[in-house]
Amino acid sequence: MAATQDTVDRIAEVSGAYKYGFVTDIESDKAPKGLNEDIIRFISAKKAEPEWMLAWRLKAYRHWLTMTEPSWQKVVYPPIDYQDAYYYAAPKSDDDRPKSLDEVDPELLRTYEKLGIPLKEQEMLAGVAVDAVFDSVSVATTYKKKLEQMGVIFCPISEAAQRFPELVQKYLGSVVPYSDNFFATLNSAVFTDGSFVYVPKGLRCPMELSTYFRINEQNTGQFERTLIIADEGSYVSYLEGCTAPQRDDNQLHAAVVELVAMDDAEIKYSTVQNWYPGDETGKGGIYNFVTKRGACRGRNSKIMWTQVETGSAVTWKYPSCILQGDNSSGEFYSVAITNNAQQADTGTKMIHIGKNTRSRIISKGISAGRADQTYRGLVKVMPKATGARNFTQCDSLLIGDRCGAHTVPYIENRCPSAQVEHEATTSRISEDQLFYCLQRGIPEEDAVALIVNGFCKEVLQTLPMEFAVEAQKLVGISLEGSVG
Amino acid sequence: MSATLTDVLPLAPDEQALGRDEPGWLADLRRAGLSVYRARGLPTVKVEAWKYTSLSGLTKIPYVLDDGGVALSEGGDRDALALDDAWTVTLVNGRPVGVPDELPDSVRVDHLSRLLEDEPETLEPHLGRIADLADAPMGSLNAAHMTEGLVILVDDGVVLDRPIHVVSVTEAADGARHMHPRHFVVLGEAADVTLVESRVCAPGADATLSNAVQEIRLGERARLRHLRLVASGEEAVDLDLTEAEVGAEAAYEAFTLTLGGRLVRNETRARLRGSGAAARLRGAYGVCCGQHVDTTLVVDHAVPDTTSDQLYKGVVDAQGRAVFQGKIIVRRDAQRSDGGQLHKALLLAPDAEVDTKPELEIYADDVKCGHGATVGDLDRDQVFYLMARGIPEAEARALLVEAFLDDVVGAVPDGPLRAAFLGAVRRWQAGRHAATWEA
Amino acid sequence: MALLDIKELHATIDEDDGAKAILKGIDLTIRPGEVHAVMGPNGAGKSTLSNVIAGRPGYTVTQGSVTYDGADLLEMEADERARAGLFLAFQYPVEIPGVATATFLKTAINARRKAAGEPEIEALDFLKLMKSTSKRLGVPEDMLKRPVNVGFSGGEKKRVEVLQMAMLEPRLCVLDETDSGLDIDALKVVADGVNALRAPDRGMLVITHYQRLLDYIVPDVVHVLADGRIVKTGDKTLAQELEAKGYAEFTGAAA
Repeated sequence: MAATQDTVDRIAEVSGAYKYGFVTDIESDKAPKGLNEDIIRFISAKKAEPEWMLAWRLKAYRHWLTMTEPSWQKVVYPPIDYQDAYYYAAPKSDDDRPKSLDEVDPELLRTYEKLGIPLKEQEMLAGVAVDAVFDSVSVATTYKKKLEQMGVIFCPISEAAQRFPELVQKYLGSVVPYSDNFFATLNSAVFTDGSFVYVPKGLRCPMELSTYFRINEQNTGQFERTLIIADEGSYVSYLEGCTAPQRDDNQLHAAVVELVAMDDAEIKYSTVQNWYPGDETGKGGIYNFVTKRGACRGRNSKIMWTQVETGSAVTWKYPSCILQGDNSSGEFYSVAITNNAQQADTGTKMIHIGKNTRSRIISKGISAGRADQTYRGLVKVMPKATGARNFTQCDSLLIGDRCGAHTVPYIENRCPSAQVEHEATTSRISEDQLFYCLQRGIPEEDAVALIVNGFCKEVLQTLPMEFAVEAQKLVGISLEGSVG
Repeated sequence: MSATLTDVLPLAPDEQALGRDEPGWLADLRRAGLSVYRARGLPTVKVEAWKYTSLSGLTKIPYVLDDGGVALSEGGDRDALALDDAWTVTLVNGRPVGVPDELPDSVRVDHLSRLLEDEPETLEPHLGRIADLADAPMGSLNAAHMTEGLVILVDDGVVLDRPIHVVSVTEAADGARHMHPRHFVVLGEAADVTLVESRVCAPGADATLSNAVQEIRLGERARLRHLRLVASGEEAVDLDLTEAEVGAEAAYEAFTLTLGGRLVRNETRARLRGSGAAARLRGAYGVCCGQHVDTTLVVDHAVPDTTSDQLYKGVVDAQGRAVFQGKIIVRRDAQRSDGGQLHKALLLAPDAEVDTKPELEIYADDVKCGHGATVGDLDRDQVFYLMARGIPEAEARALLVEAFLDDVVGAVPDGPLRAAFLGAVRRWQAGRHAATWEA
Repeated sequence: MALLDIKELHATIDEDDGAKAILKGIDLTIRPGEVHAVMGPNGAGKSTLSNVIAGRPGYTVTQGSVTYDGADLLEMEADERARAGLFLAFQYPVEIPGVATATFLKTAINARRKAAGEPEIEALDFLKLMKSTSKRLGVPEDMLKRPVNVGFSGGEKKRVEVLQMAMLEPRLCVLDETDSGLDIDALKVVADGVNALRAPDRGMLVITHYQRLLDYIVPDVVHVLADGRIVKTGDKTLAQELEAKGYAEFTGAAA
């Protein structure tokens, strides 16, 4: 909790619109600009990957060349020049991966401390194990040893590919195939790092696992890949946080996350996404085009996605659950805030395949300024998913009359014993609510933050404690300047 | 959108002959229609607005353009709703056969072809001006082809005490025909009209493709009750795009009951153009036996202070597929819009499917908008309760289905009209078959 | 010095078809320790008076002045007025879904402290204060965990208004039709709560249609408001007089 308080105070004390806009001055090792097979070979060689992995990357790359960028989403951005970016950047001193935190460049540690993720302190005090990913590489993973004693593997995916090749080969691409979609395929070709988690049978992972992503370099894309496997009867809670410096150009972040839950296993995946959103005029910011998908392979398995999306210039993201195992369940809780010129097209997919599968979708969208936001969600019930149930609630809140809030659910039901319910509302903060708060002495911006936090409560309370407080503050910060 | 069929482009008219001997504005309209259709082709599931209804299968049927010359066949009462007290006009394959007598002078019911021929200037302000077809490939195809249809013009202040009943019959012709009727309803200020429409099919006249467009314009304070029964033939493809432009304080109240057709798409768009305008779109459908019924609704709150509500309920039985897409748009500055939507479907068999896409597109903050959708089977406890009282299962289920549809059919004005629509529902229940509704 | 000094106050309400004059020249002075009641028929301008004092948007002051503790109240934003010690107990308390009443109160208290340059209230102190206050006012503690006014009965809402008033320790309390929608038992509880807050340095303005509330909160001064003006001022017996005779005399006079 000490770390959390630290984070909170930090956020509170720093002034200016985006709190993480600083750039760390670190010498870095970059691959040449552009994308081709040589770059992919370079990345694979840097990571000392097994041969099959390079082959897989190249297969993805060749497939990607045949694909076109999707255009169905309700967002607008100029064409991306995929040749005008670096696909690999690593802090130079990290050429030999540090064996312990003592070997990590102190400048890096200071960066993470600034971000509210003090790696050292965290290791000492908080019950959270952290993997810190800086541009293309993982720079530090805390609590690694302690976790491995219990049989939990928590390490950079590049390391996992060397140390646990069978596990990685078995599951990589098994939920999001290399050919899945434009951005996932690009990621399959060029992904640089990310976290790998394996929780053995019957173990309830005693601490929160967390990855903190940071884009630092200019003109680099970030393509991390996360793979989490929860074996029979295990439980794991995983947190993900993201920030990037304030820059005038747009940067691409195209990540892939794959989750696999076996019989009776449960995975809780929480994200607080606060990539740089661009300035008020829409200049700069991250393009956050992410594919996240979980497979509930086993009976009674459960996957829960919680996301708080406040950053990025453009977001395109649909964390999904494939409910294969009988009685498995998927949940999606989302708060998305768009302000100024931000755009987001986000939601989820719940695919009911097994019997008595359950899904629940709670989405809270807040749009302010000139921002445009769309909830897009699919609930699909296959003919054999007898007794399946879905409940969806989508609420949108508009702040100001220049923004947009849209809801596009797709409900496809082919099973008569299934029950699917969907509800959506659109509203705004009422003048009465605002005046009531003002009359109690609460300043307008705080009042808006308070009311919006109330609107999102159902989602925020699903976050682990450490993130919930931070997320609440973030809600307020994200909406600064949206009233008055 | 890449998968258009521009190479073959079925159903398209000959460009050279397009608009020949017609006023310039009309020829332009046709050419614009053809170019949209050309650019987009027959809609497939890759087009978002047609995500669940593909027309690509139509290329397999060798349709020829209907050239008229088909008469109303003898025998068989085609008036599915059997309304006694109404001004009735019959259409055969989209072409009016005569017009009702004894209509008041203030109401004009005429043939589109006659107006196009004799007084195009009467049509010019309305034709192609109400419906915005730029994003509608099939509606655009209609614009390229249209020659015939029904025109209803009602003067200011006219309140009709009897409904106008349009019985639209598809008759057999030699070979599969495609037809593109274009209808018009223009109500003057404070006019009040009930328009009943039955789309039915003569035996053996199945393999037709009807691609109709209806343009409706309601002046200030006008009110149109638009009640429709769609019971097309077993092999019929029945596409209808109705666009209603609703003026200030005017109300468009539609009820559509769809009980048949191989592939039916009823697309209704209501554009609320004046303060106080209202649209109430209600409907029910029964789908089974390889049928595909698509209901697509768009309500566009274009100005402040307008209201709309959509309520649709459907029953999907063995091998049926129902599609419901409903959209509420609130434009920038259309403050105090109030839009609601509810779609409920009963899925009665394992090989049936319901695809629902309720959509909100909101650009103003002071609005009250929401939607709800549910899909499920009949409540097992209720079925059991009725059976425990000695009612056989089939009957119990039929009773519950009727109860399920009750509130939406209640949108039809009480009296002979509602009785007629309820009768149609009951006949469908008894037969679960589109062709057997003719009692 | 007067706590609240209203002079020749004219105000309009903004409506779609223009502004409508509601207050047509109000003079009213409340000194610390005094409880004033404003009574009047429907449409007299009672709620407008409380809303204008609290700074609710939608009203325009066209003439006159309101001085609070020596400062020009009309120059202050609604939240500044609140932090300066002005509390309005709402006729219709507003629901704020998802925000626990306790969180709301803590935010309000800290906003006040922050403005005064004081540190935030200690969690433990806040808990103690909340416990003792809710006990005194007969508000079940678990109610404070529920979202602000959501699902509260009419009586519960009014009770929580008084609880907020007690915890925020205002200098001037404006009670807008606090008795409406209350049965006699709830009325007594609410009145006891208000009476407990009577203090030599605190003023109160009790706005009501009925004399009933004034049996329990006995005012020092009673004003009759009719058609936007104070038409009569007296002591507590004036309230009883009104109860017996009704407002006919004043509405007639005002017309």
